[in-house]
Amino acid sequence: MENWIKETIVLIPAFNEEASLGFLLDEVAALFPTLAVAVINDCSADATAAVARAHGAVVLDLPCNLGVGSAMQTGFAYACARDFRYAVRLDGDGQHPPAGIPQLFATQQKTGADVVIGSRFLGDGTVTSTRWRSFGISVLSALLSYACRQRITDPTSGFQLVNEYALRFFAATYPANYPEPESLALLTRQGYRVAEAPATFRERQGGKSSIGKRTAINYALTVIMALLVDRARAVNPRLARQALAEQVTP
Amino acid sequence: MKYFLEILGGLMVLVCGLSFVALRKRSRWLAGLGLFIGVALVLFLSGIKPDLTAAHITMELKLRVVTGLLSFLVLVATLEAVRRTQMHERYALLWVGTGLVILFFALYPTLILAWLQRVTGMQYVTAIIIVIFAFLLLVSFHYSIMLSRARDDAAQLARRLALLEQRVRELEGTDKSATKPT
Repeated sequence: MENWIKETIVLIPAFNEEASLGFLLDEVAALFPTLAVAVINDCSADATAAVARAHGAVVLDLPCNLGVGSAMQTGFAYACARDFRYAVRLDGDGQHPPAGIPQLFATQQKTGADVVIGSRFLGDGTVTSTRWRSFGISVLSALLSYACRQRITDPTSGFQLVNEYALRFFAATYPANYPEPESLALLTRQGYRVAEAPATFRERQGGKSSIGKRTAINYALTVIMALLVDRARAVNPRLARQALAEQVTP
Repeated sequence: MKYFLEILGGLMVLVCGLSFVALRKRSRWLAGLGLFIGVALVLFLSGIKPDLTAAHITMELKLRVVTGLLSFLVLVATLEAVRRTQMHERYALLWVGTGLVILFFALYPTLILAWLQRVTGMQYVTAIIIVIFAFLLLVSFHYSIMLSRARDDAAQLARRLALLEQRVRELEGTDKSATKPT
């Protein structure tokens, strides 16, 4: 069970996260000393890249701000190029506790899913959220559960474990804006399997949420439109789960 | 003065061509002056005419003059943008076409618009506004698509660059934290 550490890379998309990134990287290193970590610096204006390097992470520097989706796609491409089998995404603000990573792997082993999502709502921790936010999440959850034909309790969670097949799919196609819900819908449409594991999120350790009050409506509308339009798109047979499983030798 | 408007249109084309030549050869101040004189001439001519015609004709005439000037401006601006290599010929073609279509409207409004009027039942002014509006809508839609494509290309390049930079750092041996799975 412990051999996942050798084949896994932690991907941390970071935009102006110098305040919280050092603490998070130290925490990862303390829990899993040999685990590979790559920070994707989305053209931060602060010392994010320097902090990440000082704390022993590989830093992929994007020359212009592309948004979290494109940053993650960079990380997925890196993981593929280096033949990592798994990638775990953590947010740079520290709201995803690295101690929850083994739980994702346990669920992955149990279900054989291609992507495992850490869900706030499956854990025993109480989730503090505003009324509007939880309403938005429940609407998204219902829509995404319908699109995926399975229950998805936490559609906006970025705490994810991705295996070698889904990695290749994501390296080729990943939504640019607000990627989390849409990427799950795309996955299940292409024949990949998704599972959820309980996870306890923390308060952000520093910095600001990328989704403020004004962009919340934008977020909801963009995601809902993307989910609906994706259903009208043709499945790409070359990136289907079956095709990649034959192509990639484990 | 049966061919007054045709003469007017020809005059505008002439001014357009002349000022473009001036833009190429001489200073842009000279071209601007030529432009101004041409415009003043056209306005002066159109100002004399109204006394002889009915009120609604006057309105139409002024509109045609304005339309003609608009086409002239579009043509000059497009050619100048191409000359300065600010615009690709591919997009310039669209705008040259636009300028010519507007010029055609100014010179022979009855040919197309009478038909349009018959079909849709709209007035001359309404019809021309609708046509322009629809056209601009299509153009901006086209640009939304081009912009999205350009953005995708830029993102793809940026991602490649980030990966290559990391590779260079590793090959140079300047990044001690480089990771390789066993």
